[in-house]
Amino acid sequence: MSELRKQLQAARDDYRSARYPGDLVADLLGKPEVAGRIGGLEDPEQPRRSRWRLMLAGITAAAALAAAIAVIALLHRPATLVPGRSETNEMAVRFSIPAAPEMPHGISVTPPHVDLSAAPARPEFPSIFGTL
Amino acid sequence: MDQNLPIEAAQRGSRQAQAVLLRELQEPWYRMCLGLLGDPEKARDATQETGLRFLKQLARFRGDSKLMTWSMGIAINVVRESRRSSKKAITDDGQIADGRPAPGDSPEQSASGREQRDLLRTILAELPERQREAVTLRFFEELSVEETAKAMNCAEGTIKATIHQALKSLKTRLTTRRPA
Repeated sequence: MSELRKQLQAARDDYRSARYPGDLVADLLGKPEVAGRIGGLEDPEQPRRSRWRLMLAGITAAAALAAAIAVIALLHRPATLVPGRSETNEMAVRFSIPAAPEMPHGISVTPPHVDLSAAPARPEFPSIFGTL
Repeated sequence: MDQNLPIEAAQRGSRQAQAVLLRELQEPWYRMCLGLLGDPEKARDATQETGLRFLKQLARFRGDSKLMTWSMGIAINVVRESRRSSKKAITDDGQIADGRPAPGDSPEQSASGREQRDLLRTILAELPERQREAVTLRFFEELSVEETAKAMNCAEGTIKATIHQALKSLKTRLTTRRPA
């Protein structure tokens, strides 16, 4: 083994004996400010929790909207309702069938008598031989 | 290593899986940062930055290489940025500003061994950045040429040439500066 190789081997043993002074995991993952610096570093449960939170917020918003619509509908109801009489009765159909039209009087509906037995004479046509 | 790691779970955001990956990779990252930066404090900061970037970019890992190789590429970039921001890794007198306790520093370790180790460390620190990175990944982390190329984001031929140059340079410097 060459002198240089021996030296390098000794240097490698020396090099490999170095140890990180502490715990890198605690240094990095244990500090919230450092964890915040790591963009992609997230709790794996985070997306599931976020989904549930989003769903809960959606349900709450929908419920609030429905309640608001109900309140508005109640406020805009007609105030003069007759007790015991529903709004449906109030809206009952109010119409009557008009009277039938009357036929005219004094007009004969039959045509006058015409004798069809006497046929009129046939028209005479000029002859081409007579004119020539 | 990759087969046993919960990579997909970590990509989906499981903190437990991410913790497993971080614990598996923190030592290689730190070793390399320390080897290239030479300062334990800076190496620790660089390791943490590597961990942050690793977690941020993990979703983009497609498995084209080993997770270790891919993450070493992130660590290399962090080290380069750290070196650019402060060029104090090497002190003015050319020694590495390294305060880490070397395991060989025990009293029973021979003085000549210490000197030799320090000499190699000094010479390594004098190498150009790319050569140091290549030697560290190839010989100290024992990555293949292909893996080293992927981590350093360059061609395999470039790595071979870089390592050849680095070894040649180390040999020359060791010969000329060996302590008497």
